[in-house]
Parts: sequence; C-alpha cells; structure tokens
Amino acid sequence: MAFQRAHLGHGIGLRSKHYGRFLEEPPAVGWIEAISENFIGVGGRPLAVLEKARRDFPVVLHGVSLSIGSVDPLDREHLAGLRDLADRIEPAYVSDHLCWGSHRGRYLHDLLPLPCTEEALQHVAERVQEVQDALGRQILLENVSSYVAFRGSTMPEWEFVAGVAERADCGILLDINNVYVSARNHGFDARAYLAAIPPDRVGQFHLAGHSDRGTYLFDTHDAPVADAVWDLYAAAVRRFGRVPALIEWDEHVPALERLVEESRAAATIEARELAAREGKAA
Amino acid sequence: MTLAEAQDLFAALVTGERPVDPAAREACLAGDAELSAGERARIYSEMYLFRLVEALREDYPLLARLLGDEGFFALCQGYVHTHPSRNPSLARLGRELPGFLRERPTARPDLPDLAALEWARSEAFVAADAVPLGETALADLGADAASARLRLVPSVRLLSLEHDADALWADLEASRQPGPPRRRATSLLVWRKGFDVFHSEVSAEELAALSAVGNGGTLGEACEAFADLPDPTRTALDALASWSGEGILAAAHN
Repeated sequence: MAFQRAHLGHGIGLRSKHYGRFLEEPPAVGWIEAISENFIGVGGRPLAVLEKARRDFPVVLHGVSLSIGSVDPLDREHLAGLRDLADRIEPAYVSDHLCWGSHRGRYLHDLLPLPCTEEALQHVAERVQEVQDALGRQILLENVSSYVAFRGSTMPEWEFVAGVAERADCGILLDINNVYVSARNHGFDARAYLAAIPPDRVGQFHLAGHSDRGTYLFDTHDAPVADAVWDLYAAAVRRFGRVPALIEWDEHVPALERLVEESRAAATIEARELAAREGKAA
Repeated sequence: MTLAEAQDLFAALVTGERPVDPAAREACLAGDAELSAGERARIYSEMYLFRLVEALREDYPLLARLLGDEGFFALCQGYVHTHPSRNPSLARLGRELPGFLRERPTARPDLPDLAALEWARSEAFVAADAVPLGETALADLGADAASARLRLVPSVRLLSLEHDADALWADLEASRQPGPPRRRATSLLVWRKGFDVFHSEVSAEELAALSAVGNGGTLGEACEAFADLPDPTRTALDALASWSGEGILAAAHN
C-alpha cells in the first residue's frame, strides 16, 4: 500500500482566540488544522466556526487523545465521534500522535513517549490498522517531543516511527520542532532522524516554538519558531520536497496576523529550498 | 520490561497516585549527567497537574477568581485525585466538581452552587445545535396544544440551588467584591440562544414545568405545575410564550 500526500500549502491552527476573525473573514493561509477533541459532539460557536473554516479552507483534524500506544483498549466511543466529525468536515487528513496518554481508563492528557521496542511497534501498528478500519481512511501519526528515554528501547526513535508507518500503512506527520527538541534532550543528530524517515510516508510538517529550560528544551508552542528549527525545516524541505506545513502556537497565542506572518516565513523557506533543489537536479 | 509494565510504572510517576520504588524507576528510565531519571519523570508529573488545573480554570473562571490561585490549585489537586479524567476531552474533566464541593466544607457555603452554574453555562456553550420551534408553532397547535409533546433544546440546563448563586455570579463577573452568601432556594434556567449563553432565575413551578417538558410530558402535563398559582392559565401561557421566544423548545422529532 502507499500513502497519498495532499498538497495544501502552509496553514495555521484554529484557536478559540481567533474564532471571531475566522467568522468575519478568512485569513490568507492555505489550510487550517483543528484539534479534533474540541469539536467532537459539540455545537454552538465552536462548530459554526469550524464549518465556516471548512467552507473557506481545506481542514485537517488533529487529535490529541487517540492514545494509540496505550495498552488500554481503544476508546470506541471516541472513535465513533471522530468518524462522525470526519464525515461532517471531510478533512484533508485525520492525524494524532505516536504516543500513549491513557492508562486503566484514566486520561492523562499528555503525549507520553513509548519505549522503542518491537513489542510496542507491533502493538501500535495493529491498533493503527483498527483505527483506520473504524474511520475508513488512513491516518497520520506525529512524532512527539520527549524528556525521558526508556532503557528497554531496542531501536532509535526514527526507526520506530518509520517502522510503524510502514507496518500499519499510515502517514507520518513529521513535527520538525519535536525532532529538534528531542534531539537536544537525548543527544542525537536531528538530521540523521530526517534521513531515516521515508519520504513517501510524510504527509505533513508541524513547526512550533519551544522553551529552553537550561538542562532541557520544552515543547511549549508559545513562541515563534526558533532559528535552529527553521534551519531543520529547510533541511526537511530538501529531503521531503513540498509538504503541507503548519504553524502551531497554543499558548500566549498572538494576533492572527502574526500567525499568518509565521506561515509566510515557512512558505518563503520552502520556495527557496525547492528552487535550490530543482537547480541542483537540473 | 513489557509495554504494559512500563506504562504502569510511568503512569504512577506522572499522576503520583502511588509511590514508585526509585530502583524500579531507574531500571525503566535512563538519566544522564544533565538530568536524572527522576528529574526527567518530574517534568511530566508537574505538567500533568498544571494542565488539568488550567483546563478546570477555563470552565470555572469565577470560582478560580474567588478562591485565588493557591486555593483553586489545592481544590483541583484534590478533585483530580478523586475524579481523574475518564474522557478523551479535557472539557469534560470538571463535570463532577460541583458534587465534589458539596461533599466537603468549603470557604463559602455557596461555592457548590456557583460551580453548578458555571458548569451548566460551560455545557450550554458547546451543547449540540437544534432548530427551535418557529414563532407561530405554538399558536399553530391550536386545540392540540395540551396534548403536544415537545422537547427542550440540548443547551438547556435546569438548576435547583440552595443559595443565590446568580447574585454571586453577577458580582464576580462584574469584578465586584461579592456579598456574603445568601441561603435561598433558587431555580435557574440556563440556555444558549445563537452563540450566547444566558441564565435566568425562574420560579420553582416554572422549573418543574420545564422538567416535565424535558422528561417527555405533554404541554398540558407540564402546565399542571402552575395549578396552585393564582392565575394558572395566564402564568402557563406567559411561560410558554417566554420559552418559545428564547428558542428553548424544539419539536420532539427533531
């Protein structure tokens, strides 16, 4: 099987601070990403904003609670709600995170890392297939930032990410900031990570800001994209080509214009790197 | 260590719900010169509580203001220990907070009622949409009105409270110093019209009538709630007109 990349351009996240603006006039971006859980089973203003946004743009539904790596059973009610929402919104993609976040029926509401083992890889791959069957579509899984490493891991994270995508036949949402943050926190080479990810599985990029807490980097999504992450994004464009890229900014959310500006910065880097790539190829 | 064992241990470290033997933690997680395994795990446990408290603050902004940061944090810490999240959406986390407050002594006796009002308003804001009855729909029922069965739109919440939570809510919302708690049986109707959420005090009889509609009773059965009032017919007609005008009635089959 294969994964079909959508061509969406550069997008931003739909955040409640900007709901009024989205209802008034669509911002100058290529697409938007909405957090699935915020719209499952709801009505009122949030749903009206999402439906208006969908009339104006392609939309990606991005989840945070699928808990694909948990040993808990899959939450069938949540999946049914997600399917209903996807049927209604007809998103370009449905995505979530390669992590776990629930345990014995309790949701921890965090993106917790998995040990990179054959057992975890097989477990996740089987569950991705179940989810894809339930939704009737392929999903994308995003690499998460992490602050701990498991002693039991038997392969590097990039091999785990690529292995899940190939075995489960799903896409990869490659979060460039998360690669950078985890590389710094665990002392690996971010570019080696990119080099190990199969280009035909990558459907989307995330770009975001992080915080330097002295002894580690923290994935805060509360600041502009750092220069080092822009550099890594440039390297990613050279490797993966034209990939829909999204600016994530979830805390201290700035004015909509600032987000659009950040999105344009990404578009400029992409254009530069694609031109360089084509020049090289010619 | 299996995946299940690793998640068991890591969940305990994150939630702090049970002590973890440091040797078991070190056997599972790797530390380095920068950060020990324990320090790395603590990044997650600190964020766990912080994230849940912030989610509760979104649903209970006035309760949080009244209690102050420390008081609200302490309340939330106890709450999530007793009522951990069981829903993929963080927006459902605060569901049991009013009941949790009722079960224990609080800084003010009207806090559980304030919490009930804030939660009802939060739920109403995102409740499913419904098409309300048209302006003439009640009149169009004519002689069949008494036997008609309607329903309340999904945003409606009916509250029977022990204190005047409306006055406390209004003081806090306007950033005024709240007055002392006023113990008084209070019936509140919460609903959404368009995108905006409203609440209004109603009589106990009107609350009973609305409950009857919501429970599938006929309009005639609902209006029996007004039977002991001086002018029951007039009161019932006024109530029906008000409900219709606020868009809180919908056809039963919708």
